[in-house]
Amino acid sequence: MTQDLEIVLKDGLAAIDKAANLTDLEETEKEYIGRKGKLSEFFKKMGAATPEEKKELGQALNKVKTELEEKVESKRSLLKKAELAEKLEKEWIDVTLPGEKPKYGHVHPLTQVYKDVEQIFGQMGFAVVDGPEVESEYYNFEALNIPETHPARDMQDTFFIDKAADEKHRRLVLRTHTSPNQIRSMETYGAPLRIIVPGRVFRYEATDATHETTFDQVEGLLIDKDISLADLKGIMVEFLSRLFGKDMKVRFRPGYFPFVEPGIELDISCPFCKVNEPCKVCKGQRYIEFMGAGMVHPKVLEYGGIDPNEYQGWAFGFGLTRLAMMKYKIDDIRHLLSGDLRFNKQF
Amino acid sequence: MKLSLNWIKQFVDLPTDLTGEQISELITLKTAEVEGVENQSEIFKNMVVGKITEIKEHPNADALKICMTDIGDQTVQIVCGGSNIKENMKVLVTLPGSKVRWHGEGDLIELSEAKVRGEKSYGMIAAANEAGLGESEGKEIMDLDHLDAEAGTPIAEALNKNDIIFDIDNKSLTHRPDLWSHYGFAREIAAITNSELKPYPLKNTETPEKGEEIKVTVKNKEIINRWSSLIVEGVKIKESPQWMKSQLESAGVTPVNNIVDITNFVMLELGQPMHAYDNHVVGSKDFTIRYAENSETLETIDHKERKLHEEDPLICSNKPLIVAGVMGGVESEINDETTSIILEAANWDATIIRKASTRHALRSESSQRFEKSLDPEMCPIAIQRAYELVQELCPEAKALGPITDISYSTPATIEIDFDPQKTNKYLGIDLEIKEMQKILESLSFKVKEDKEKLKVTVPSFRATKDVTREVDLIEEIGRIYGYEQIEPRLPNLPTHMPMQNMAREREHEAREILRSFGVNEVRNYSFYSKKDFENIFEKEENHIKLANYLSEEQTHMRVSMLPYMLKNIHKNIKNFEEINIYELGRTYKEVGEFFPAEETKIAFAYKGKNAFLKLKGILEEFFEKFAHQEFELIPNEDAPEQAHPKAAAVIKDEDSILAHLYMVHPIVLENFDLENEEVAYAEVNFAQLSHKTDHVNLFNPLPKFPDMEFDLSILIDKETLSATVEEAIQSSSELVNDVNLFDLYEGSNIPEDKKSLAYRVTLRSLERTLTDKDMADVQEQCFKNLEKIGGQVRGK
Repeated sequence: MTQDLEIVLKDGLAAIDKAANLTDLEETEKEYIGRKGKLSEFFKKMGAATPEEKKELGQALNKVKTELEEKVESKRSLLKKAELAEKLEKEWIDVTLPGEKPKYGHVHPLTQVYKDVEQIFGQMGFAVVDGPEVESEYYNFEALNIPETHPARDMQDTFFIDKAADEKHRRLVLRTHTSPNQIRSMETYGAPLRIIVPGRVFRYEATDATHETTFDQVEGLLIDKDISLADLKGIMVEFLSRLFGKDMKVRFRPGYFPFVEPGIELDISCPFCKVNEPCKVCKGQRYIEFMGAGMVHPKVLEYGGIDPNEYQGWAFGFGLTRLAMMKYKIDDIRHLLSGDLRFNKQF
Repeated sequence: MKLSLNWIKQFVDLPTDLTGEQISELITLKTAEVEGVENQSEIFKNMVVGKITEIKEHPNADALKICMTDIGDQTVQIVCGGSNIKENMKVLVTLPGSKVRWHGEGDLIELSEAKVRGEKSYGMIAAANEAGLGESEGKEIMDLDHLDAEAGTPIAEALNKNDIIFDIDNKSLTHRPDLWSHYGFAREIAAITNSELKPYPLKNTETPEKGEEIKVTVKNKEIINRWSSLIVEGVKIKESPQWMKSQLESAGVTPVNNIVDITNFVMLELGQPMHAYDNHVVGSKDFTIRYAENSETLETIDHKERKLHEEDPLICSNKPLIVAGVMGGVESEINDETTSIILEAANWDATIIRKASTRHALRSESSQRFEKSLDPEMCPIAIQRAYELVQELCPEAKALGPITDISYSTPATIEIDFDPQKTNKYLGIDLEIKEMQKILESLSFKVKEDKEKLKVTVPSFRATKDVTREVDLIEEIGRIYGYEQIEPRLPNLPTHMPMQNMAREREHEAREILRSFGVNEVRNYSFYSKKDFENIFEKEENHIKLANYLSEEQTHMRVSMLPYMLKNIHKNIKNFEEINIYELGRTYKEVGEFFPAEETKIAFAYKGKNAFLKLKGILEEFFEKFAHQEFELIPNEDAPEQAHPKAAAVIKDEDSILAHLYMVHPIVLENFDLENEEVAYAEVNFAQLSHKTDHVNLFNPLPKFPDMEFDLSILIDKETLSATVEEAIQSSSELVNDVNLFDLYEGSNIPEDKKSLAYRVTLRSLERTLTDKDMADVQEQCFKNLEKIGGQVRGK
């Protein structure tokens, strides 16, 4: 009987080994150690044995059973691994296939620059102010110390509206700069004043790669009791460094704008220069012209109803369009209003 | 304006180690923008006088010769095709390393040693236009036989081209009448380089004490501030000497003849525009200064017959001679036969001159200066200087009388109280009062100390307009001390929250939402054409029109964003199948007041399949996310003319229209070359929508009990609105939580006037578990409701 058991064990181990898959293995398991399997025959026969034989046979049977069970488990684990491996193999994905893209729109590059500028100045306590684009000569010129016959009117070629003039406002124009809002804000809010005015402006100027009839500017105005050109330098250094994400420098030169005195041209250190490489943007000058600025002319404060003996401050104006072109390296201003989505969708 | 450094150096001794570049930088940092620096010795580098010693035939080309040319230290072989070459001729040789323009055209090209048709050529024998030395005829090379210079002399030296020319940005001189001349700039440069300015070079040229003079009658006093003149006889008109021509040319003025050149020379040197008349042609020595009469005309020296305006200032004898300060008349101008002249230097009112020059679109060198308000003191000095030059160029010339010099209005002396403390506070610096005094004095201001302050007297040449108050002096301190010395600092101000600009913040918010929806932003012009608005059936009377415009495409301010949006679609149609765009911008409507109504709007346009519902979905979702509100959509009401009459809706917020949503009318589409396209469009009143900000999404408890769902399909008249059907379902029970259309069918198998709609209805209760009976009750009521509106529930 022990010999028979030996044979069952040997056959059983061989059959388990031979099982090609989990179903086979289950069949084999049933055949040998199932309730009606070959080992159960031996258990049944044990009833007829003497107690001593029983003990001996019992031990032998248990040993065989355990051995077969262990064998089944180890085989099962092997087969599971193999099956998993096969499954994984089958589930291969060509990861280089194009991904399914979510639909996402695009915000115009100029708008993105608007947002940057508004955010940074907002953090420095400047309020964002709006004004009309169809403006009066009074606000656009006269109240900014540019009387009708002043040669400075040549600096700004103007679109006029075909409409009878008003006694105070004179003619209607498309605003040539965002500066009229200096006066409008002084009238509305008085002093002290800390504002920026981003917006669309117009010039009667033929269009080419760098000139447009329509472009965007931002005006800045800071009026308080103790404001100097040094503060203008400080604010601009902060603004530019944040905007370009690097330490920036500014340079003042004399400039002439009738609504400021002293008048300043402000150059910025070229944000694109790299060490030991010729720079196409500044052409090796290391500085780029950036904006006009200056201390608000006492006459302009008076026009705005602010006492120049009590308050002083500065104003500046720079091109948002130009900044966008600089930031995104756009080589032709005409792209901006072209409506060509091949352009707009790049940003 | 062009400035010659050699000319300036006649009036100021500059430190010898100062380069042209450095001077340019100093001018830029302290005075005015230098737009360009032209260094002639650079331009004419490697160009020398050569002498052709021998001419040989070229073995491979008939039209070319081989010229053995002496260039000083050696004789070199140069291949040349010049038509006028001969042996022993002095020529212009451009050596390897020089930069020339082939045949005077195109870009500059650097020469190198080369072979021309197989023969070596060491540079070339050049034509004048190839070296930028004037015009050339045909194949003629530049003949330098008239020069004394030896072979090998650098051309810059031989032709006196060793100057440095600064090009100053005129705009940055708008407020500086004193800088429109070489002497003026010399004075400025002396101050910024701390050098000595020489007095203006006047010889003591005598004029007779008595004799012929111009008698001036001024009819309109406001025109003129000062008049100076002198009559000179025995003049011979000829070309000016080379030195004068070179000096004029270096300042960008073309020489004409000796007398005209002298008037221009004095203007460029001193800054006072002058005029010279032919004394025999003017006809009378009694001059009148007056406004023109409306019917008068004058032929100006540019040979244009000008109709004069009643505010044009004139100088007349017994006839109009010139438009004062603007342009001379052709009749009395200096001509080859002129022998007797009247020299005139006057000071005109800046505004009157500016208006006249603008009116006639005549920006002359003279009007450009007068409109800046010149110093009247210059008038008699200009006459003296011009007379001196006339005598130099025509030694027989003689004045017939004394210099006439009459002042009509003398500008008041300007004295300014100057507070050094305020200056420091303005500039953000800490400069001693003594330093400030020094700066002002270097700029010819007279300064007196007055306790802690200064009393400053403005020199006449700065007193006409430029420097009138304390801030003007602060600028002088700032720029000469050096703006670069101002240390950046942040303003010492209390922290404060800026006023909120809700509208602006909301614009950015709207754009972010639309970006997430896949809509693309475009920006368009604010003006369009008459055709554009006629194409969308808008009327001219709602528009404001530009008085001056650059193109017929841009004549009226837009009242609708539709035309440009359709153009945008047209532009992109070949590149994109689906076009989904919006613009956030303004419209400008004539409303019968002085200012037009500027409204901020968002316009949407969608081109692609199922356009109307696509755009409707975008709008609904946008309103929901942006304004947290569902709005009432009313079909086919108040449809604008540009809308398809059967595919339009308005979206209302209570009584006001928030948006129009429609398919664009087929005729409008055709007008924009979009026939056969389906385009949906919406224009939203953004200002109104963006006010809805006070909403907060409040928490809703999550359902504890499972939902139940059932589907239903009905057959109903085509015209019955989907909204009506949904309402019928919704109102059948409070348990109805959601109604979703999932199928719409029209076509075969169902009657032609019917459509089939299929909905999934979701039931929900927050209090209890729903039962089959609940479902049956709802269905029963729902079917009843649907039958009431003519629906036939399928498979009931």
